[in-house]
Parts: sequence; structure tokens; C-alpha cells
Amino acid sequence: MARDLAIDLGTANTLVYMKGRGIVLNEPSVIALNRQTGEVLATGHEAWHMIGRTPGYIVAVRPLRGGAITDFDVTERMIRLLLQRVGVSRFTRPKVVICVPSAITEVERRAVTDAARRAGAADAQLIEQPMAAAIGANLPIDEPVGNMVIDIGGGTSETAVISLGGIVALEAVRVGSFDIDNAIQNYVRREHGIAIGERTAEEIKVAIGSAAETPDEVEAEVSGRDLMQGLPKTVVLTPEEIRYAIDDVVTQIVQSVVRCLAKAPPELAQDFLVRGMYLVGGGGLLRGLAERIERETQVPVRMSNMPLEAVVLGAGHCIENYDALKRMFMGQRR
Amino acid sequence: MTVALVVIIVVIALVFVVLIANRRTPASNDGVDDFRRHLDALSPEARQQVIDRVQHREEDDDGA
Repeated sequence: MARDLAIDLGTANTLVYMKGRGIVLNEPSVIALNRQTGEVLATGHEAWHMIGRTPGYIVAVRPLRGGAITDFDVTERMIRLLLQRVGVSRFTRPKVVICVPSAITEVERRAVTDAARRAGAADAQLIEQPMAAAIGANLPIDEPVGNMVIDIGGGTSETAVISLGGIVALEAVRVGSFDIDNAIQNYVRREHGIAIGERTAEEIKVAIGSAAETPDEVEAEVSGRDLMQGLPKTVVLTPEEIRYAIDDVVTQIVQSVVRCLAKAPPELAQDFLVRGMYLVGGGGLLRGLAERIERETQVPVRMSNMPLEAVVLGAGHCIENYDALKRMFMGQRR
Repeated sequence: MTVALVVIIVVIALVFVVLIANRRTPASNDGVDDFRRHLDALSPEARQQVIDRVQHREEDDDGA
């Protein structure tokens, strides 16, 4: 008998929660394929290490962009492999709850559920990421008070106000931490004349990236390919430069939070001031982001205890209480 | 004879009323019960089990 599963199918990472067991898989949403045969060569961490370092016949790709499936076949194969790795076979077909961005279109929604069913799920239900995040962050969403959660993922940033187990206000933008990496890549190319890969850009973001000035800032050396000469070259980047490079993306994220606050009913405004907003998702770990949001909204921002796992924990709770929480699933609300 | 007929009619009417009442009461409570179950399942106490399970697993992984 298959144990039911909750999957956080993120643009950056995929996490799987197994009913009765907890998180059984956590790895990058990357798949490496043989270009000529279409054969899968690696997934997860192994495939992530291949990004930008593959020979011509291998391609390492992220099949999701902005939280949406960009390559249906590859996503289906990735889900099938994930399910196989956690013990699902053609004889054991589990129920699956999958977390998706709230701004997902009907077509994208169908693509995700179809991919999961074809990959071996008996039933596939979807839940919005901010709702799952609020459950996983253990916010008191069963009470008639305003709970605000900001989920910043690889491809999307979503802010939701939740009260009495339902979404009151929601604002989503298809901008996330990969856009921050892209902004760093473009800046280094434009201002320093060197090309760097997406993994290097991510390393720069983690090392010296920030959304607001922070204490103990340091500079970082970065190596890439000189665009004029084609030779390896090293330059020094400062935290101010990176802040400038990513400012447009950070501003879009902060503005979406402000718009969500403006959409929320006035009765809940007082709750936000007292309880604050909760930041979850890998993008929320960017230094100074909580301070920047706090400064621009005048509402306290708190970091969730388990920001990277909050979404899958919320979906995991739904799979543990499937019947009682059916109305949380997209398309099931009455 | 007439009295017996009246009693039978009254009993049938009572049974009918009870049946109708029984059919209507759960229906009107369904939404309330369902919503209560939904909120109970979302309470922090109900969620603690899932969070504990993950935290214990992380502690076990760290210890290994």
C-alpha cells in the first residue's frame, strides 16, 4: 500500500513529504538529459552540479520556470523519477497533494495534475503555495485574525492574508530569486565585461547579496570569461554594486507586498501591526530583505522557523488530514 | 374503530414529522460541522505532530 505524498514542486527545489514519515526528499528541481536520445542521465543534486558544465550532448535543465511547467514531458519524467525514488510503483499508487503558485492558469493547473497522474499518482490535488506555507509556518490561521505570509521562491513571490482557514487577500508576481541571479549576471556582464554562469551568480548572491545595508559587509572576487578577449578574468564586486544590480527585482517583490496589504480588509490591519508578517521560501533568506519590507510597509517582518520546508510541511499536514482539509484544495472550495 | 383510525393517523403523522426533522437537521448542521472539522484540523495543536515529525527527523539526521 503506497503512502500518500505531498510535493512542493518548486522552481528551485523539490521537496516530498510522505504521510506518517515526514520529509523524505529535498533536492534541486533539475534534470540532466541526453540531447540525442532524450534519456534521463541524472536528477536533483547530481544534475544541479552539471549546470553550465556539460558537453554538447548533455543538457541540464530546470523544467519549471516562474512556478509553471515549461517542458511538460521533462516535468512528467522528473515527477515519475521522484515518485519511484520514494517507493511508488505501478502497483502502489498514492494520493498526491502538490503545491503550486496561486497565480497558476487553468492550463498550467491541468498540466501539473496530468503530469502527476501519468507519473503514477492515483489522485492529484493542488494547493496554493502561500496557503501551504501559512499552515507549515504554524500560523494561527484557524482563528478569525489576519495572518500574513510572504513566500519568495525561485520563480514566484506570493503574499497572502489568511483568516479562518481561507485566503482573504492575495498578490503574486512571477519574480523570484532566480530573477535576482539573472540581474547579477546581467550587471557583471554590462559593468565588468565578463560572463558568469547562473551558479556563480547564485554564489555571489549568497555571499554578498543584500536588499538593504547590513553590518559586516565584505567584498567578493568573482571569476568569469572576459567578453572581449575570451580569457578567464577575475573582478572584485562590492555589496553596494550587488544591491544596485538587484534593486529592480527587490522593488517588485516589496511592491507586491504593499499591494497585498492594500487589498486586505481594514479590520485585519491592526492584526498585522501586532502579529507582523511571516517570511518563508529560499528567496526570503536574502540578507536585509526583511528589514527592507519592514521599512517600506511599517509592519514587523518575522522569519519562519523553517523557511525552506514550510510549504511542504503545510501540504504534508493536508495529506495527513486529507478528508478534513479537502476544501483547501484548488477547485474543491464550496 | 374511528378512535383507532385517528390514533393511527396521528402516529403516522408523528413518524412523518420525525423523519422530516431528522432529514433536515443533519443537512443544516453539515456545513457547520464540516467547517468546524476544517478549522480543528488547522489548529496549531493538530499541526504540531507534522512539525515534530520533521524536527525529530532532522535531529536524527544531525546525530547520525
